[in-house]
Amino acid sequence: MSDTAAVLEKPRLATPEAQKPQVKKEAPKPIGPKEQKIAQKIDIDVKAKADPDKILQEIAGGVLAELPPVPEGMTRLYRYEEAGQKFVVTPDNVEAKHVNPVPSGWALVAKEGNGQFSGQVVSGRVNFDSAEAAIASIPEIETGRWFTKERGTLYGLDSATDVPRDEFYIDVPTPDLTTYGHNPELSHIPEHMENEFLVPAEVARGKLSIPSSSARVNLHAGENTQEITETPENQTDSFGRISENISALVNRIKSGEGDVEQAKQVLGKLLQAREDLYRDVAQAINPDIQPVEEKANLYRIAGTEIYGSIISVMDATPALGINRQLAERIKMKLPANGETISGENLPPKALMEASVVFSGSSAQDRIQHYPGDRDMQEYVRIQASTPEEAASILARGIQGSVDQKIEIVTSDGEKMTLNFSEMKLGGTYPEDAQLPSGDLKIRWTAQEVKQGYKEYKTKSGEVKRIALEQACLNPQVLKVDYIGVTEDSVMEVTKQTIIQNTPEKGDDSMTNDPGQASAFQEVYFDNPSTFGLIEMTYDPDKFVQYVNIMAEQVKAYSKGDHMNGLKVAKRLYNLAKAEGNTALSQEVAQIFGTDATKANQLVDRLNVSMLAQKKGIDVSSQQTAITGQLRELLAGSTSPLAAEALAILDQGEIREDFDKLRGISVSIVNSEYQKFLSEHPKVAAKISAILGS
Amino acid sequence: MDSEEYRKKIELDILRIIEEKLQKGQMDADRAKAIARMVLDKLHPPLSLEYIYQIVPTLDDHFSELTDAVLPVIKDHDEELKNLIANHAEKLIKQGKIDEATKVLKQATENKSVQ
Repeated sequence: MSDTAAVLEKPRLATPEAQKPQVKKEAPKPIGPKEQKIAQKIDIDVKAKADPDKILQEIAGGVLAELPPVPEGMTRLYRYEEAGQKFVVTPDNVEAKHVNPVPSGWALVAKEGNGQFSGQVVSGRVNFDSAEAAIASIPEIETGRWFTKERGTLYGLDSATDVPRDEFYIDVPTPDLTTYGHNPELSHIPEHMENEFLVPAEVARGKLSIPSSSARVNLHAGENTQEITETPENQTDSFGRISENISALVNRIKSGEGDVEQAKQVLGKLLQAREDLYRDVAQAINPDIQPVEEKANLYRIAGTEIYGSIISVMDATPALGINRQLAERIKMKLPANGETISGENLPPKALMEASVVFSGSSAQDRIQHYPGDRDMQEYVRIQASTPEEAASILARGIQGSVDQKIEIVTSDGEKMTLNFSEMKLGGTYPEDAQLPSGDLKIRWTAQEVKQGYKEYKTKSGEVKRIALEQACLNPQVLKVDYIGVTEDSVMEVTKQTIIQNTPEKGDDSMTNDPGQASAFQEVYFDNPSTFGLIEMTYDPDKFVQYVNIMAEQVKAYSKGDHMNGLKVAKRLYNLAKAEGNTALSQEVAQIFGTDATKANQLVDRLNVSMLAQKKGIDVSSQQTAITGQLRELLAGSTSPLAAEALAILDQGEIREDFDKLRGISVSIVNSEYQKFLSEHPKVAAKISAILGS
Repeated sequence: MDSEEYRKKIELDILRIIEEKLQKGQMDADRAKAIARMVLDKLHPPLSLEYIYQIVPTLDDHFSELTDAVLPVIKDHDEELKNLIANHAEKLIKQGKIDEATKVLKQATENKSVQ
């Protein structure tokens, strides 16, 4: 472009003064108290040389002024101005990096000579084979060229450049397509904060591979403006603001301060408002997450049948799918010949529906590299008229799922044998029972389940029976334990059954649903909406209950003999996630990958192997393998406790000293945990806050 | 004055107008709030001088009270453009490109008159 052309490209001369609209003269009115307050505030602030942006923000209602800090390790990306054709990013701008895409468009940012970043946007999407290729295209924009886009190819005005595609996209979210930019009546964005979202800075900077439909992370903001990592910690964002308000409300509700019901209503709305923002954060952390269409609070892991809330699927990976066979096999089922209920012949599925889900650390394979047991929950719905009918159906469902040995081949080819250990059902023994161990809980063997009753002796020596159906009338606890044996390991596999509904006639004695918030940490292998399992993570009561439970458990495992740093970390991780403090949660997650955690898992498995031996299951080769791994880990440890543990292992027979070994293992974990806290002050501060609450 | 200082100066001018109108009972709190939001929307940093010159003349489209803050900016812009065009024309004349210089001046005048 010639100099002359450049000059003539400048905006036209502005409207002459005479043509500007004149200020309408208005008659003075008495000044109201609100007006007086604002005027005085402006007067004081202007004289004090306060930032005019801040003063305007206060007048505007504090929308922008109240934003809280961005958590460490996160950065904020948002669009901020009109749907123009140009946007600017200033590296030292305290407001963070701005990205201003147009609807259906994409944007690239280039650094200019004056230190600013500017770029242009065009309609469509461009695919690059690498971040470097995308960045390499930026100088082209600096020359002032405009690009049009065709699939797989990036065109300049002067020449076309073929760009391989498919590895990742530059894509711009346009959630407000109908109201923003395309509506000529809108002269400015209705709300600045509307399109904000947080991503971890580390993720934003890295090479991205995000499905286009969910791409909320703008490469140009993360990748080419390295300054994002220099974003001051006191930067603000709506996700953080909402999460802080959520925590404040929870505290108010817990303390009973003010109008609790109103606080709960607000909490529910905030949790709902947070959902979309949370999705952006979670997708940045775990790009496999996809929303399930038409289900506002349901997500899945791409390409799998793994479902859950946004908070739970954040920690699931496709690898979790290998447990599907396990879940399917131990699920309650009725014989195929159906049943007559109220004169109607119903197929088994109409009488009983069950779904087995993974919960706790078993459902968090993205971050839990050394999980303990495989914990499952089973949800059951029974179609029955009376409690007796329901108990009868439940008893047959239990019998249909329980076997002394169950062979499973997981989808990755791993073989596992489930050995029935015990089932708890029916509450406690009658008072006249003779119980040598003093344990009142009724426990069932596989044989007893199959035959449909168990026998016990009364104090007078008489043998009496408890029928399975009778026990099923009192299913307050229904839990089955297995010992899972693979080629080189042994682990406990547990399934707790929750009966969700009540018979048509009768009270709720047949249900045992504790009503706890499970959506925060359960992963489903079937679409839970078909089973009525969608539990909202924005139910205020369940949210308060969940964060309370997590906080109480943090306290419980931080004290005296119960002190267990790993258990504290697991609860804190879940708590931070629920509270929306994903930066803190990801920091806490680091402890799950340590050698101390792995050693702890191996000691647990050694314990299960001894239990297996007690029950006559041959797990000698697995025990040798576990011991070998543990020995190797301990030998590499610098902890003085490791030598003590090694000495116990070297004795050969560890059964007698196992409690000591477990104690040492916990001590090693606790020592690692204390070290972790000293190196992670934010985590330590959070723990202190919980313990002091 | 760089663009950021200029932007803040305009905001200060607007604040003074709001204060004055409020004190005189010529503006109520809701209108002050609406103006503040509009200004924050339109003058959200960072802005180049060029963008400021484009956007500020629209501030009083719906809030005529702001004309007193807008006019100085229009004047500044006019002045800058005049200087730019004059300097460029002078440069062309010195290079002997009389026709091109005439064209520049003519086109600038036409642009102004169109508006």
